Formats: sequence, structure tokens, C-alpha cells
Amino acid sequence: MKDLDTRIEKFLLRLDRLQEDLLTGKLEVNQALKQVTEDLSVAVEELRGSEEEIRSIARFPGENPNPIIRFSREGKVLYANTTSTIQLAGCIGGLGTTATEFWRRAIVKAFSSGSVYETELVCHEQTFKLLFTPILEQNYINVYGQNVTESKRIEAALRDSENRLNRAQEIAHLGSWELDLTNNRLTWSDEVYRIFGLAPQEFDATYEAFLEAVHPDDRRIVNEAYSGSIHQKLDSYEVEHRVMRKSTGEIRFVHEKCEHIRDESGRIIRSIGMVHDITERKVAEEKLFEAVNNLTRSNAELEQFAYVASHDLQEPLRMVSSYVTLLARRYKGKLDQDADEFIHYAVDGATRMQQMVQDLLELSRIQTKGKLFAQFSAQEALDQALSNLTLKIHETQTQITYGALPQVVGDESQFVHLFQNLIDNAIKYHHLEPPRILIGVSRKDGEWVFSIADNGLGLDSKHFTRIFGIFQQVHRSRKNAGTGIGLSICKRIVERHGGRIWVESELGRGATFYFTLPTN
Amino acid sequence: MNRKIIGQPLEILLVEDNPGDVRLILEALKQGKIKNAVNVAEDGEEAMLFLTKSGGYSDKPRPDLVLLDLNLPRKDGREVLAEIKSDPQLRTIPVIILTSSTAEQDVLNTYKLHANCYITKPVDLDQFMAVVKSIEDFWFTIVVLP
Repeated sequence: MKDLDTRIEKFLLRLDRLQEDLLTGKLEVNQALKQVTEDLSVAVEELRGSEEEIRSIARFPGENPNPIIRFSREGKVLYANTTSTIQLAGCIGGLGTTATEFWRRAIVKAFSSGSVYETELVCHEQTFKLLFTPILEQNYINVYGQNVTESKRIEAALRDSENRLNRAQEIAHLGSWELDLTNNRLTWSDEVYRIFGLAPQEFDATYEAFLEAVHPDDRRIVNEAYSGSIHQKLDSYEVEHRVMRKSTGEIRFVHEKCEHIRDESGRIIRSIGMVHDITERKVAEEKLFEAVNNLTRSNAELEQFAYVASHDLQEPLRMVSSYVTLLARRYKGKLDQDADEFIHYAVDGATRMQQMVQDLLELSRIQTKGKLFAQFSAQEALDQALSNLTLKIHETQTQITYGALPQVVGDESQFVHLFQNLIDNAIKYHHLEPPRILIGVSRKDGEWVFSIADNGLGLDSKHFTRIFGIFQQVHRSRKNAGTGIGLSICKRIVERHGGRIWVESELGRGATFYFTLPTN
Repeated sequence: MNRKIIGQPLEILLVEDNPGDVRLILEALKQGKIKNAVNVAEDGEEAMLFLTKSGGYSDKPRPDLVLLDLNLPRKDGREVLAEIKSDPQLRTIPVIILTSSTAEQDVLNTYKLHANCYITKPVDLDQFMAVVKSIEDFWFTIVVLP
């Protein structure tokens, strides 16, 4: 424009000179007119070009796809481009009118600060970022807008998923970290801070801050786990260590897992890891371990007690039983009938108690006095058991049927005992007819399943578990008095060999005892 | 060493603190065919005095056989055994351990101390009697003693 002004000035100067030349007669009127016409047409051409330029510039804000508005300082709408009249229709106010309160407030803020003021406006469910740019000398303000709805949505979605991840980490007590080796930048998730007893993002994560959080006694192994994985060119490593919270001194147990990410040349560019707070699990494990320890100890003590008690009981009991037996032998029929009866009960009681003490002693010895496992023939163990029972089998006319038994691994003498107890039981609890016993074995799921089936009294299912307990008898009668320990001994023996024992039966229809033994 | 003259009773030293067991052993020996004389020592100290004929036991005969319990007051049966077997005068006397202990450690250690045999007292009366009788039979009719 300045350019135009100088031209006009120059043109006027020329006109002055022409006028002078006309007056002084230096120029003819015709010549002067011609010159003026020429000058004018040049000027008009130039003016035309300038106007086109001005119009083009004036179209510039109108063609902007973002809203552009100009307000007077008082809030009157001076200009609104096409985009703003479309996108912000109804949200500003018409040209020449005063804008709504939202705009007026923003205008006041921008003018009072004298600099650009940024704010947001929601119009027709779209969010606009608005830059209020005051032009102080002109007393108006230009507002440049931008529809940011989509980027806001993406941002919100990202924040949402970050929050969810954060919350999930918090619930799981599982923090994550990442070390960018290209710029040596370490980042921790909020949960890492929390596990270390710090406020989330309290300070920028550093490897030194991490080591400081590690329990002093564990720092070496933690450091070695990381550097070791790099030196040994591993892709990942795991380490369990303690964390000591600086503020409270509280000790937490964590499990760390890390993976290295390499570039094409095999150089590690990133390490990504997780820190899992396993304190609760650790504490529970320790409690369990302690409970198991206590149980093992009290079991051993109980066994020791049973052994000592039964062993020491045996001595005085041997005296009682020996002397009442002597009494019976020498004085039976020599005193009166009452004396005979009394002596009978004393002998009977002493004999039974002796059996119990002996069984108890044996029960207590299964674990502690057992022999080392070796391979042996189950067939031979059965033969030995049958040979020990020859008299009883003969007396009761028991029929025993069995197939070939396999080679097994275990304590042979305990196996003899196991067979003997189970067969003895089958004979003891027989029915009216002579006992028939069927002994078999089958192989199933890596186990030998032995079975001893009889045609005896059988038992009700409610006793199936009870009978393996100590001093538990189902058929308590004089005739087949047992000590109630025999099946407990069987159970102990089977369990020592890593097997199970159970019974299947129906009252009055015989019983089958099963026990298993691992094949390997 | 003098060989026994026929008709003279065999001398047995029974070292046992339980009078109940003493009586049972005596009862069992009474039923035997062989004439025997049993002296009883109730603890290890008394047994050693008897064997070394000291402390008022000077007139006691040298036993032909010692039946020794292991758990004894004052001096333990194991010590008595060790002392007998380390004494050149006494070591030829057969010592039979008759105890209620079934501990393998006891069996092994007493044999190491040169016990002549180890017997666990049977719990059953009849077996007990039978064992005592068989000790008598074996050592006095089968075995040749010095």
C-alpha cells in the first residue's frame, strides 16, 4: 500500500509540473493531455492489480478450514469465516451482535493478560480448541479455532486404557518397567513406585534408585541377575528378592522377570521387566512350611512317644502276664470257683494288652525302623505271609486263590506283614461257611493295584475310612478280638511306600481290600 | 581250670535287678534236668565283687556261666561284660546276655565286647521258660566248657 501512496504522490507531483509547464507555455494542452492520459492508464492498471491482490488476501481467512472469528474488545462479532459460521453455528451470535458470555469472558481474560489465551468450547458435541489473540493497537481480538474432537477422543481412550492398566497393576501388585538403552532412560509404572514404598512418579526412575530399594543383603544377587543375563547373552532372567521400604523399613518379597529386546545386530536396545509383589504368597508359604514342619515334628515325637511308651510298658506287663499265667497253671482248681474266674479274666486281659502293646510298638516302628527299599518278589512276600499263617489257614479250612504277583520295590518284610495282616483279617471276620480269599493284582496308571477279596462278614460303607484309624474295630466280639491296630499298620506300610489303601464292601457280602504301589 | 566233677552242681551267676525275672529264671532252671546252683547279683558292682571273690564274696564259687542283664543299677551290664572279657582270669567264663532290649546297637556292641550270645527275653511265659531251658541245655550238655 505504501508503494501505491508514493506512486500517487509522484503522479500528483507530475500533474503539478504539467500544470506549471502549461501555464509557462512549455507544453501544449494537447501534449499535456496525452501525457496525463498515458500516466492515468498506467496508474489504473497498477491499481487494478493491487486490488486483486487485496481481494485475494481478504479471501484467505475465509478459505481457512478452521474457524476464525474477530471480535471487538467489547465482544461484538466483527468477522466470522465460513467455517466458523458452519461449525460454530448458534454458538457465537450473528455478525454485528454481541457474543455470548463464554466469549466475552475469554476476551476479557486475553486483553487483561495482553497475550494469547487458550481455552476449549464444546459446540454441537464437538470440542474446539480456541486461541484468543488480542491485537491491542487495533482494539480487536482474533480467535483461531480448531476442531480437536477426534484427538481428544483418542487421548481419552489412551488415558482410559492407561488407567485400567494402572489399576490392574495395583490390584495384582504387579509393576512394570522399561529401560531404553539407546538413551538410558528408565521408566517405572505407578505400581513399581508403590511396591518400593514411594509415591507414584515421585521422582524419575533410575537404576540407582532401584538398587537402593532392594534389601541390602539382596543387592548383589539382583545386580548379578541383570548384568549376568547381559554377559551370558540371555534373552530373559528371573530373580526373587526382598525390597526394604525406605520410609517404613517394611520388608516386601518380589519376583522380577525381565526380557531383553535386541536389534538386528543382536545388541540389546530395550529391557522390559515386571516386579511382582509376592509378599502375601511368601508369608502364606512360610506359614505352610512352618505348619508342615510342626506337623512332621509332632508326628515324629508322637512316634517316639508310642515307641517309648509301648517299649517301657512291655516290661511290667511281661511280669503281670507271666505271673498270672503261672498262677493259673499252678492254682487252677485248687482255690475256689471265684478265684479261677478272676485269674481267667486277669490272664485274658494281660494277654490282650500284651498284643496291643506289641502292635503299637510295631506301628511306631514302621517309619523309623523301616528298611531301605529294594527290589523283591511280591510273590515271595505273599508266600512268606501264607507260611506264617499256615496253622490258622488249616484250622479254618480257608481256601486261598492267587495268580502270579510281580517284582516290586519296597521293604519286603513290611510287605510280608501287610499281606499277613490283610489275610489274617479276612480269615478272622469270616461268615458261617469256610473263608475263601482271592488275591489279585492289576496294573493301572503307573501303579500296581493289589486286591484281597473275601466272602466274610463285610462292613457298612460308613466304616470304610474309620477302620484304618488306630484302635478302631467294626466287629467287636470276644471270638475275633483284635487290637484295632492291624489295619493302621497296613495303612502306614502302604503310605510309606507311596500308595493308598481302601476297602470296598457290602454288609454280609464279603469285603475287598485294595492297596496300590507305584510301579517305578 | 578244673573240669567239673560229675555230680557237682553247675554254678550259674545271674546278674539281674528285677526280682520278678530272677524268680522266673529260677523257676525255669528248677524244671531242668541238670543240677545247678544259682547265685544272684542285683547290680553290676555286686557281680564284679562276686566274680573277683572280694568284699565278702571270698568263699563264693567261680561261676560256670554268667547270665547278664544289660540295664543294671550302679554298674551297667555293658561295663560288667567289658571288665569280665578284659580280665584274663575271667574271660573264659561264657557270658550270656539276657535282656529286654531289642536295640540293634546293644546286640552289636555286646558282641564286640565278646559276649558269648545275646538273647532277648521273650514276652510270652512259655517261650521265656523254653529259652532259659535251652540255654541250660546248650551250655551244659552240648557245649564243652573250659
